[in-house]
Amino acid sequence: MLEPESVGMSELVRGMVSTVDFADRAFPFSRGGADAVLVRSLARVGLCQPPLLLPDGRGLRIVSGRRRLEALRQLAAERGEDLEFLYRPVAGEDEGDLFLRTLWENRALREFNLGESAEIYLAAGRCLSRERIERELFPALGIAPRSRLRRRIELTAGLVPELQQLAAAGRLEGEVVELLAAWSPDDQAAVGEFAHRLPVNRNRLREIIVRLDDLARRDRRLPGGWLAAAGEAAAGCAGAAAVEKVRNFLRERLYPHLSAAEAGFAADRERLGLPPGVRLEPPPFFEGDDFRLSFTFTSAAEWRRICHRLNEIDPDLINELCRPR
Amino acid sequence: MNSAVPAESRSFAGTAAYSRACFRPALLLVEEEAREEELTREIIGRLPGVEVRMLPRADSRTLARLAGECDPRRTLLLARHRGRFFKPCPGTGESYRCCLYQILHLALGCNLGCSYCVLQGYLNTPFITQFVNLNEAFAELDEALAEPGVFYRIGTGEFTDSLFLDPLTGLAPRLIAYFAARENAVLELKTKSVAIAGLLDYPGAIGETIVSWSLNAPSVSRREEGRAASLEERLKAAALCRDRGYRIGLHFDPLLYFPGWEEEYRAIVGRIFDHLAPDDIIWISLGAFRFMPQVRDKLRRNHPHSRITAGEFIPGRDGKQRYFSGIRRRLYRFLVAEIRRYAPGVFIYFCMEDESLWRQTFGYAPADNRELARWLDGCCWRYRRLRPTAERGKPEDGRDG
Repeated sequence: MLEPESVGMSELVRGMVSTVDFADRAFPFSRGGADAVLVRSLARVGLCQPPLLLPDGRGLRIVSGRRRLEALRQLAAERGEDLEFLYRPVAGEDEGDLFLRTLWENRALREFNLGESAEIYLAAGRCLSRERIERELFPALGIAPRSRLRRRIELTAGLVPELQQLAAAGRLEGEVVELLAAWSPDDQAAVGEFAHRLPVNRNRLREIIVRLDDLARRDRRLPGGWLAAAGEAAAGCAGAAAVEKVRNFLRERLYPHLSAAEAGFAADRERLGLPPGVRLEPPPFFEGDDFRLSFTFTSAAEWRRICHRLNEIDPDLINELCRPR
Repeated sequence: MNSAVPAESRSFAGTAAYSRACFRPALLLVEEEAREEELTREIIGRLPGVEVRMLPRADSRTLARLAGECDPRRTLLLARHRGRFFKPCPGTGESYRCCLYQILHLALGCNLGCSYCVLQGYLNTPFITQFVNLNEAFAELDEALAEPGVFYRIGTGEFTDSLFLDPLTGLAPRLIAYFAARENAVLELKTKSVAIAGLLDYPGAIGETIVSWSLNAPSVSRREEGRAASLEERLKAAALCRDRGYRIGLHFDPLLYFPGWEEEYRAIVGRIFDHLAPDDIIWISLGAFRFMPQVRDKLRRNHPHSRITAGEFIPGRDGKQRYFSGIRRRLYRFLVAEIRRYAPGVFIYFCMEDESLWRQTFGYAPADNRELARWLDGCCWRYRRLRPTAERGKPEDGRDG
């Protein structure tokens, strides 16, 4: 029969929310964050499943049950009083063993993203030997030795804290982490500040970081310098508009010829005076010379009207539009 | 020309350029089934004192394990090739004009270490590999070339440098001898090395063998082409091969766009004609830098200081990243004009390029891949002799630069 590991298990004891050390993330298996439903549930039926806590001189360190405790803290704040709850204390157990056991318990419940894995890897370094990390931690995370994911976890763990937070929130892709890892801490921090300040989603952030990296590589200029220049271009804009300004600024710097071609084509198309509903597009990325004209119509009369208008366009203007760019 | 110079120095053997580019492994991995092949014995004989380790079979798992134990830069794998030796160039496709080149696949990888080399993303073996079952390779060639009326341009430099292993393998003279006796095929040896001793010293008829050098802007050559011979050394080697009777091909591939590119490419074009006459050159190809997107990370990882992948690249119709067409057009027009200043009649073609760029640069374009192939075939004397019976293309289709 498989017996549950009982090391460190003990009788339930009473504790106060104010004595929980929420800042401690030695057991970083939950992002935390109390949701309203959980707070209401606690208000209604109390804390049914006791958290696992490690008492020490600073207070009660959270081993498992962070979300429940954060919800309890929120409830205490709403009520304006400290709240008492039951927890299971852990004592006399090696912290490394406890770490791995809790990891396995959580691993059964959910997958960890890149940033979370990096945070776990960092935390493991404080309680596990290098040998145990190799032999026990990585297999527990399901990561093969010398795999790319493993390398990315290690790189993520080396990023500045702002970027680690972004990674843990799932906003940094592994590919992007590889780029950022080669940047200076100042450049990393600049991106972290940008991403925390503006509403930029994972894909947009990836695009911006890749472009910054390309520009920095091309011009031997720091990525943070490019980001600052893009920020100046976006001065006066806020929110999504500022993000768009930054994106466009970087695109134009990285693709000057393509941007000029697009602008030139748009101007030439404007000069044609196309009928409403008619779309005229260049070849994708101006690769080749197949232009695409399309329009919608609802009747033969409308068809004839559009074709008539199109036939009246000056051929020189059309040739001008089709010229190589 | 140069007949008073001792053969050794004429052929670059013993020079710094020669030893830089020529590969001398510290370890030979030999597949069990390759042990008795003649080429295996010859290579081992040319490397006295070099450790030889036998492998049951060079499968990917074994090689991946060995990559952790052996330095891939100093290891040569001798193996049997179990696939086709003779096959179409993988560039073949219809999105861009392709010359329908054929590959004789005798080796994999090279030690020159060019930062732009797309093989970094394609090869699935960590070791430079020489295939040693030559009898099968030649049997396959015999069968293919027996087809009447079909003309082939065949190269060995698609997945490796054609000559950098030659001091160990002595393969080039064997290939020259084989193709010299064939009417319906020409061999092109493409290289950035100066390992031409075997070519110069080969005593027999060389037929119409073409020796080609890849050229680039001087700063690109210095920064991005690792252990390759300098441009000057390559051109001197080309002149020596020309003196021996070889026809010379030149390939500006990959062309790179960078500040000062015009001056640099103008300079190298000028240097070509300090060493070669227009009539020495059978063809010059131009190809702007392009790569599969997934190769980019590998190029950057292997060459972190290189800036070549940070250009204005757009996704092409074949999925490869290519310079924006306006940039390619500028590169091509400039190079073509510069080459034409010295050699108005030399045949210039694009490797894997869009039909519209052909028209914008030359004023004409091949209608399809077969027409481009016919133009290149037409550059070869043998093809001209074959014309009356060749089924592939009409005589008037041949475009002689």
